[in-house]
Amino acid sequence: MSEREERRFVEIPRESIRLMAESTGLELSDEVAALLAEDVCYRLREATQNSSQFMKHTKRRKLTVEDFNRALRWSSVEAVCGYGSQEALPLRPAREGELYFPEDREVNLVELALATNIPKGCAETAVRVHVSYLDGKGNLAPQGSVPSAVSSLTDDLLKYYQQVTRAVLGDDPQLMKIALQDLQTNSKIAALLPYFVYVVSGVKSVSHDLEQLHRLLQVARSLVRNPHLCLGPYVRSLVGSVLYCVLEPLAASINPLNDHWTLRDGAALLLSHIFWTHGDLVSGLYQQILLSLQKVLADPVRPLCSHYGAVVGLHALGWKAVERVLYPHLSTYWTNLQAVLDDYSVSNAQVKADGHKVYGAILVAVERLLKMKAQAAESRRGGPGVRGCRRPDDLPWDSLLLQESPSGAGTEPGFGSGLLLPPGSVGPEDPSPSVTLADIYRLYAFFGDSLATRFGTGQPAPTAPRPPGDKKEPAAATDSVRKMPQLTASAMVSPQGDDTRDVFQRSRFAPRGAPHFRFIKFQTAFPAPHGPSPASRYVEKLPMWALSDNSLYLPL
Amino acid sequence: MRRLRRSRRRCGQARSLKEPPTLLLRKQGTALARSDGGTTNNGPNGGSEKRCERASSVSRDGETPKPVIAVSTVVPARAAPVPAAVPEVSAPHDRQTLLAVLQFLRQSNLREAEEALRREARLLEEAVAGSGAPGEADGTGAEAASALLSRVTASAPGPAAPDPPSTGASGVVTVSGSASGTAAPGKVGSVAVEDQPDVSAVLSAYNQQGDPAMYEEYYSGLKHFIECSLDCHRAELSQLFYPLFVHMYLELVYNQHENEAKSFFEKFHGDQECYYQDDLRVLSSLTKKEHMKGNETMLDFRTSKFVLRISRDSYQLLKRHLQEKQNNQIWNIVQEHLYIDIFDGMPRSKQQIDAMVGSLAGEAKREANKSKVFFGLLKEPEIEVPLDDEDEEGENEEGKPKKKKPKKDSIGSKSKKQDPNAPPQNRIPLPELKDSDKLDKIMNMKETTKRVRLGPDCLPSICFYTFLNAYQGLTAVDVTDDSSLIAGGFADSTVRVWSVTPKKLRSVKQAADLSLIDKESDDVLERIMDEKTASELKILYGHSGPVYGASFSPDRNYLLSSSEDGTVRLWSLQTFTCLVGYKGHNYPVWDTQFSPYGYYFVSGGHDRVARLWATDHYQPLRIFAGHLADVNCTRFHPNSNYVATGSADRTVRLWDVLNGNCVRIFTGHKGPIHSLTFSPNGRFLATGATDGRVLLWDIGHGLMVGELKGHTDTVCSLRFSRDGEILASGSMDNTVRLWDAIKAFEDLETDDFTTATGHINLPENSQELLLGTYMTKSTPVVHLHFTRRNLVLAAGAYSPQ
Repeated sequence: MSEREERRFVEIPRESIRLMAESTGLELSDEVAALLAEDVCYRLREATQNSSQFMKHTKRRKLTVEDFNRALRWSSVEAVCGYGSQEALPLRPAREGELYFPEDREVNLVELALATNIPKGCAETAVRVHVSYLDGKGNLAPQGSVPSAVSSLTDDLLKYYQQVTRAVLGDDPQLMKIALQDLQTNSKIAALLPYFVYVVSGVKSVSHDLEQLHRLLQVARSLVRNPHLCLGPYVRSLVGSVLYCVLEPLAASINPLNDHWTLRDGAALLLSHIFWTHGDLVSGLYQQILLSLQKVLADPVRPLCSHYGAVVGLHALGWKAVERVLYPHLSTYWTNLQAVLDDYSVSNAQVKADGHKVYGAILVAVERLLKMKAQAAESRRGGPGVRGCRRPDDLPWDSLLLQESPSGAGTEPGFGSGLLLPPGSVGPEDPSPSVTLADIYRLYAFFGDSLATRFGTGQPAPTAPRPPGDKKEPAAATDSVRKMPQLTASAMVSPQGDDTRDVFQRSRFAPRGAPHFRFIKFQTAFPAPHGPSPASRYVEKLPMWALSDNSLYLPL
Repeated sequence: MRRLRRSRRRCGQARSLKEPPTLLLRKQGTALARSDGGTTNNGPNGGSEKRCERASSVSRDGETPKPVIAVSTVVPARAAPVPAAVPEVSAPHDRQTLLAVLQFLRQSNLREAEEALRREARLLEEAVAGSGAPGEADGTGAEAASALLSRVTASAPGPAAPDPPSTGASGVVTVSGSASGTAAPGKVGSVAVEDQPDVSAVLSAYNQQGDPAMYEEYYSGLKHFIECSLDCHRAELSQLFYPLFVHMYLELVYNQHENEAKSFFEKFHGDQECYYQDDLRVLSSLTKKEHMKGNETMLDFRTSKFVLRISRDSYQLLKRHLQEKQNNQIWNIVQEHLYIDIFDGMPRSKQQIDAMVGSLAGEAKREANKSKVFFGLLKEPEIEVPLDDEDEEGENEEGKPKKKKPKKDSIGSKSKKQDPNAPPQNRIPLPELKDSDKLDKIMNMKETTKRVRLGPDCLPSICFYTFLNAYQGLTAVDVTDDSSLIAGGFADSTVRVWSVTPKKLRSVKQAADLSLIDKESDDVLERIMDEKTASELKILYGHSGPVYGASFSPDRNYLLSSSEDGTVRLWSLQTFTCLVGYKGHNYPVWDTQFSPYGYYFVSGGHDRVARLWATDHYQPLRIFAGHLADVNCTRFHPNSNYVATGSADRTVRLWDVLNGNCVRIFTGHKGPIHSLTFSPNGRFLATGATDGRVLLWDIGHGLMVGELKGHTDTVCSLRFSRDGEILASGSMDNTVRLWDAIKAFEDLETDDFTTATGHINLPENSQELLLGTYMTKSTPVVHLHFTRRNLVLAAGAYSPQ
């Protein structure tokens, strides 16, 4: 040992020994004190050395007072009591300096005995298993993440958890509201997060109960909106639960009276919300969601309500999602849907009704896609001012749409449900769209004018019926921007609808008789659609669309 | 502090009084051990082996259940060295002076004066008798006397009768003879002479007492010589530094040259290899003769011989140098305290030496690892596997019912073949298989067919059992072979057993309730279980100190636990009560393990011995003594015929259960060994130590065959996969590492030359063998287990920093 290392050893000066001796009434000579001091040091070192063995066998890296006491005991020395605390004893300097002593405060036993806040017992030792590495590869959820939550779960938190779950799933709407509100704002419930996530994942077991599903989704929404919670790895689980509500053929949907459509719409909105706010937490989440939506859409065996969910989900995720997944898939999907819609048998009635829902949802999704595309194209061309430069090979209604879109963006901000981007930002964000606007116009091959009609519905100003002079739709191609909505509006209100039907006939060869009547019905139901959210609007509107469009034939 | 000292002494008395009848025996045993050690001149290992052989030889016939109870009285080995070094009450000073005077008289041929003085001091008669008798002033006599001086405390005047003068011819022998009295050492003494041929010539002019001031000079002289020697010799001779340094230092301390000792230490401790740091730290705190009495580490040094392996060339070189320089001080130490194992041939390289050294008492002697070890597996009993309905159904589901049969046959035929390296089936009496054991074996076979074949491309999944809220008190873990139960030993003296399957732990009902049961009913075995108290956790109370070891019996009916309170307890997993407390260690018991066939178990502890027990005997059947420090871990060989122990003296030993002999000593670890495991085929042993290294050993050849570097802290647990393809190691550094065992054992250097010389060349391939490092979150990996389908279960207590 070098000199400095030498000093690592405890050295007890002989003065201390003499002092201790004096305190017991003994007088020691210098020589004896020196010898004793040296011996004491050695014994201490020896005991320390021996105590390390106890530390090693307890699989610790820290030598504790207990280890030392054990070593003393095995050397038949009385253990030193009173130093068993886990925390290090603070040493305080005496006023004279040079002298340090451990703080030893007096404990008021009376106070302690009468104290009301009796410390709770330690948590029970438990074993938890966790698959740490699957086939030698790491598990994504870090080991210990749950344990740390478990270990820090106090009684209060547990009570909170019970109260909140009871309130949310209970009968009192007022209580539920409060509970959800608190979930949304409470900053101290991080430890309970896994539990609530687990509760939300309970959607899978209550798929027969729409009410419960709604409430669980609300819990999820509250959790997502709580700014104090770091969802971290739980995003995945939440997304899974929400997707379940969006996509699965819920047991509740067997009964046609159940309005599971609203649930799916709400879940889809929540999904997009989670994605927009927490998507960065999980890499590849967007891709995963798209993939699962696509899978459902591409699976013809799935019931139509699942397809509906997939479409509204895509719509909620934004027009790009629609473009990437729905658009390329549409041509194949359309055939299937059409087959359903064309079956007039009584046994098919329910399925057909569902098919109309899907149709409507697709329509809404595609509509926005078109709008955004048009907008993007417009802004690339140098702004809305250039109206005249139509391409010669454009479809007849091309110009209408082109001209309509800027005004749409300007006048109806509500329709895009917040996802509408200002025209300027669309261009740079999507500099080379995989699908050109012209391509997308092929959509009209499917939807024909019902798409065009949709553009009109959102227009708040021109809802009033127009004079029949505007009927000439083909001629309107060269007309001003306003014409298109006017036209459609008139088409809708027109009791006869003959003129409109002309337009329709371009793309579909529908029998003329029935639609007339149905259009009237549509008309009567129309005022309702201006709901707060597009999703709820579909719900109101879609039955009508179903009725009005069941006569459509596809040109394919 | 006086009280401290006094109480220490008192404790010594108390301890010896605890077992008064054995006191006498123990002394004898000690004497025996010492005499063996001294006369055979084979150092610590030989001595203790002898001791344990003697101890167990009573039951040579191998009927294990007949316990060698005599053994247990032979001693806690810990006690052995103590009396040897304890000086008698008479002042050693006086005796030393007397001896010095006598020596002087003899050298000056003043016979009469010498005789007179001797008569005066009758006390010393016997001691000097041996050497005095011949009366010639030739070197031997003088040397003997001086040897006496150096060991004056050892030659306690006792029953030792005057030795026959004939033995006086060999001085060394006399010395040890005087201590033992019962030894007949003549012939063994000659062995020593044979080993070091020209001893007497070198010794002729040596002066034991030596000037303390000269020690530094001697040492630096030797140092200079070794550093200037040829490269090939330098590495070998450098091995001398450490033992010489320690012995010279101790001699200085012993002769109470405190200041010289201190300066000697300060001057030369820096030259020593880094892996001796821990011992040096102990050494440096030792500055008083009185302190040496109680310091076990140092007692080992004085009473056992440090073993060095040196080529003949290097040895000759050293001898010549010492002769030339008349450096008797050093030569005396070499002679007295070192055992130099000389071999012919090329000197070893530094790497070769470094791989093998590091233990407390040097390397193992080559002879120590020469005996035959039956490392093969026992033939499995043939069990007709009934293709019961359930099984067939399962097969039909898989759609290939025919495939199963040949498979089963192959398993059967494998076990039918007798392994040429296996011990005779009945070498150790093993318990007969019960019906339940057979059922379990069948289950095992079924699982085996579904086992994952592991390899570098197919790594196992790892499940981690985290002990929560253990407050850093988890000290031991064990998992049953079928992975259905997990037991934890805790620092709060409890043992807790968890069921890790949905099946809860049920105990048998109370006697009163049992009497109500209809004993004729078919499901009586089901009815006796108490459903009300069923739980997934049962706590076993009984120990009065931290539980350091736990082990399930193979049939899952029992659990063993070893504790700081010095006992091993056997618990029933039917009633969850303690059945037996095995007392014998008297000091903390660090580890215990059931034999793979049940019935026997082994324990090892702070008293430096491992004990073999049978569950139905309250005293041990064998005592495996020989380690120089605590036995930290104990493991049974898969064939149950051998026991491996890892110790704080940095050696691993393999013991024969049949006769208690130490059949292998493995050196090479640089820190206390804390984990051991045998490969499933019984050929290899893996050991892990505090230095973070895992070493692999070939048991048959007695060689180190691999070194796995990677862990940064103590390796607490080791386990081979069920087929031995993967070695998993768990450490205090919060990682599990997987190693390619097949590759590690692939091309072994087990040619005749390597086997004969024991010179090994380890490839530096740790990185290639490491298949994966898996982090836990601040959870030291205390235990590892491979399920029957090769899923890794790891366990440890979550210990937030």
